[in-house]
Amino acid sequence: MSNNIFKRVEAAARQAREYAFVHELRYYTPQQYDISVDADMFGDYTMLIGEKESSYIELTTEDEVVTKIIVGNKDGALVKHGEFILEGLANNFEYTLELLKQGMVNEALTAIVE
Amino acid sequence: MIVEQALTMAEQTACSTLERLLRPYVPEQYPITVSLLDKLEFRIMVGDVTGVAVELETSHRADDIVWWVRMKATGKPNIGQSIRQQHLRVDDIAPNFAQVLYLLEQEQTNLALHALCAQPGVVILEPNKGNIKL
Repeated sequence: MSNNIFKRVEAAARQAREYAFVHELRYYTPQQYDISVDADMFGDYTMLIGEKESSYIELTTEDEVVTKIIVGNKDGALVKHGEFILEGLANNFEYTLELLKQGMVNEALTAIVE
Repeated sequence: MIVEQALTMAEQTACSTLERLLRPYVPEQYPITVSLLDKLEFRIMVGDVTGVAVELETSHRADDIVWWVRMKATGKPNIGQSIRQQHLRVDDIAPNFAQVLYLLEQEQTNLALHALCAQPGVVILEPNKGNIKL
């Protein structure tokens, strides 16, 4: 009978990584916005700042670089592909979320990569 | 830095979790040391190189299979073996640790190696002597 030792190790590591991301991103994110992180095993991950029903930023990484940015609100969303450093984007979270709240999705996409 | 910190935390958690999960299989007097070689590829040492020790390396790419083992009995040279098998995982090996460490204490290194890997279909690769089918 297998105890699935490695599956338990994988689960613990994934949980620790997600917790660490949420903890670090909290410094850049106004308190009223939720942060959720969905990480696959030591690989790529998707972070959601805010909620899709209102204003949100969604970032997807590959090999530790952000390769896809989605900014949106309840009326729609815009996508940008490229290679971005997470810290650079995180510094713009607050302003970007404010623009999204005001319905300025185009401006928000520009603001987050500036 | 955000990514690096998250990765470091995940790696530390993976190693400490593996140590904790192996502990019930290993008599209390033997330390367990786990290090990460690559993404979910571990080197696990049970015991201590100054006394008796069992060392394993796992390959995550091959679905967490143990592919290499090394053993040491006090006063004896190390024996290291690659093992080729179909389904030998840490789950299979862990229940054998206590017996293996006992055999190593008795300096029965070869018996210990077979006790560790005693699963149907396991082949210990011994290039100079021909393979041993267990």
